[in-house]
Amino acid sequence: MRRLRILSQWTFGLFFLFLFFNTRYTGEDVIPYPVNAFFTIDALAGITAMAAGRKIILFFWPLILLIPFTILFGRFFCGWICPLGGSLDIVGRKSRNRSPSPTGTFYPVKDIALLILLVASLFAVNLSGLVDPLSILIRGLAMGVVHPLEKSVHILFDTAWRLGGPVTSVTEPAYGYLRDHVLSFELPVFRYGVLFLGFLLVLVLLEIRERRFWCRNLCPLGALLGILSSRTPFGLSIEKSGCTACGRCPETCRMGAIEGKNKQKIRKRDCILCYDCVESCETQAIRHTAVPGGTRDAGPVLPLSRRAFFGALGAGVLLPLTAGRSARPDALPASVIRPPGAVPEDRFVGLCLRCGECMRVCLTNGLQPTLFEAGAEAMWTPRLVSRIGYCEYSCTLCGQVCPTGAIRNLDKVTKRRVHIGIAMIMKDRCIPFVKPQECLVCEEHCPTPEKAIVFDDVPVQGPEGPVIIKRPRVLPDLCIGCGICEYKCPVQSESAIVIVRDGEDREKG
Amino acid sequence: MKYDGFLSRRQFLKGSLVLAAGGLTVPFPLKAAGSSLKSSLSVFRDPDPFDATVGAVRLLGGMGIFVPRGSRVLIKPNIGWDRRVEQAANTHPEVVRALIELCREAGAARVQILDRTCNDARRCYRTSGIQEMVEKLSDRSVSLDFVNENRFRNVGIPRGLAVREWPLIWEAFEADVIINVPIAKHHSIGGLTLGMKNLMGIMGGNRGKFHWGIGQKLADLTSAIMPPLTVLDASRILVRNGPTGGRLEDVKVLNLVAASADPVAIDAFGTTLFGKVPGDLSSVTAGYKMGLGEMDLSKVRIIEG
Repeated sequence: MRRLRILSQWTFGLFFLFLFFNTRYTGEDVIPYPVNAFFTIDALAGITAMAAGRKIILFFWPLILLIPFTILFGRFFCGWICPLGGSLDIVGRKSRNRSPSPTGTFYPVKDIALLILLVASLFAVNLSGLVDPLSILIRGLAMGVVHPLEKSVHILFDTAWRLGGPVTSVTEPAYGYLRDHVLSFELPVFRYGVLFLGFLLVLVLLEIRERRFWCRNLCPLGALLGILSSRTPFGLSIEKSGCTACGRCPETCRMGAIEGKNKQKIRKRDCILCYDCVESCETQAIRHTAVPGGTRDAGPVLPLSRRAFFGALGAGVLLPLTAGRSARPDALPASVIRPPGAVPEDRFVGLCLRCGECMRVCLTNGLQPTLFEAGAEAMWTPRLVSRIGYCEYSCTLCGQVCPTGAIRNLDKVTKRRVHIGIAMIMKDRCIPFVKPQECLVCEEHCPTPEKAIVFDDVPVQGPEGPVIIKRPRVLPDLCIGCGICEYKCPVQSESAIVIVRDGEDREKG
Repeated sequence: MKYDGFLSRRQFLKGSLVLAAGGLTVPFPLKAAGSSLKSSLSVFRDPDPFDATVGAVRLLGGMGIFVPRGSRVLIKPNIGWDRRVEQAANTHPEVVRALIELCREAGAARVQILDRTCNDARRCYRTSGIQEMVEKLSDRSVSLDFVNENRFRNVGIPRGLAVREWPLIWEAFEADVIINVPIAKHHSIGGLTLGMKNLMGIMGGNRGKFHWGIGQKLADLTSAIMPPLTVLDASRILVRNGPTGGRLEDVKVLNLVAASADPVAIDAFGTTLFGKVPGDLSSVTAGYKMGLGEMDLSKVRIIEG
């Protein structure tokens, strides 16, 4: 079984990477793979998104299988499927700290976090994405890892190319292959990328302290699955008669789930069914028991002190009440442009998992994570930063990959008509307004079939007497706010035409 | 007509690359085609853009006089926009295919097609139909490549009046022959976008700024590149809402392809397709004044077929 578990971890891990890799445009308007498939069995994401979004999200239907199976058998998700857990196991294997600390200082953190998240989601605030393991991993890889990794590849090959000579006859074909098949089409850059990378690194470094430190102590998805499996009738347990109290199994357990010196028992809420202990037991005393009586002494479902429990409840209530924007829903800054198809802002923030799939897939790299720009409760939600990348007129990728429908999956024709904002000309910067000089770049790139930017002939004083020049003007009914004008505006640093949120379409989703 | 300058240009450039690597600016050697040769321009009408293109090039004397055997050709169509063939924002794939075939017949060693696009390059290449066309050829000597934004090289523009140097894609330096293949389109400030404007597709750098006083700048750029052959796709033209288009009612079918070695004459001719005169286009006037070619169409030998 242990071998099977390792095989399963590798299979799911590689499948996760395959889906992550293919979260990109490959020449087809529709991505051919279900790249967000892992979220269908993310119980934390599903429950909080449905609670905060106030709707049944059919995308999460596999949970009706996962939850009963977890209740029956335990946290197999953590031990067999979770790609973050699997990754931590790879580094944790080398961890020298073998001493089991079943319930350390940080042990209740995950349960407290879970409670806060669940309560807050009832108040339509969904912060689970900040700490959901799948979101952390996708976000970390997409926004923290890809850039430095690919940049170093580019630097390597560009250096070889600059040096010239016979080296390039080897490096150039290799580079061409990598560019065509492996590397991102254009090197993606994300704001706050170092934070996402840092977060992943911290999780890895915590393995030095304890194996699966994250899963034991911090992961709220693990806490949720742990609660579900704390009374599991078919979990692993130690047969008293066969146990010689040799002490091997507590030392093997990566979760610190086996406690007691003489009368050893497995805490089912912590067991992730890795089968290391089964393998280590010389008397084969650890096995699945199908007796419900085996759970009699399993301890509390939620191992929190009364103080911690009510503290977490209170925090879960207070958080939505104090977070700035729920108090003032209209306070979203004009510069926060949501992706096309985004549902109304309160629902959007409730549904968004902050997983970064949309930002990873965005053709132009224009979708960027927000820090506090959209309010603290909207941290890491996507926002179009047109100066970095615009919204490609015929592209619908972000809606396709969004797991929860926070960004609706629009067809191409509908998407082209969705107003995500409107362009405003900054007349203190725009060239034809500040000097007798024509410039047409915004109008040139405007993608609407009937241009949303037109020109007015205006007489101005030129260096050699009066001249008539063309000045751009935005037609509000036609402008969809795609931002290509802001992106292409040749005025340096700040664009002379910027997209603002006014006039955005945010249909109910 | 003798076009014996190409190979020497390539050799010159290769030698100059050593300097370029050191950060120096490389001048293209000038070949003032317009001033030393009497301008000829061919016009071929055919509902099939492939046949029209073959016809226009044949009328000029055939691809052989532009593409020496064994040479490396860079074809620069307009693939700038994520638009379909019938929307007339990009060069017709059949026009490009005809040129590829003609180059192969002439014995070209390698044909490279590329454009520094305005929309996402992958979408442009695909939606324009040009990627599919090249894939169908399945010829290893023909490639459709993406522009690498890290690999521009400065070209010196010794005769430039508004621009003295500008970064170009490095492939432009490697090619023996550059064939410029614009589509004739409406364009707001320039009025029209034709051959000289299409050359912006091999430019690096901040092309937006280039639009300030664009007429002279385009002439300067043309003086540095001097494409030996320009083929103007007017199989269908975009008469309004250019250069992006998107509405079929803005497209006018002309079933016409024109070709010339004179980059000014072909743009001068292009203006007439829109009911304008050559003087309406500031780049044509500027190019003519620099001696890059002829703008007086009465002095151009127009061969119709």
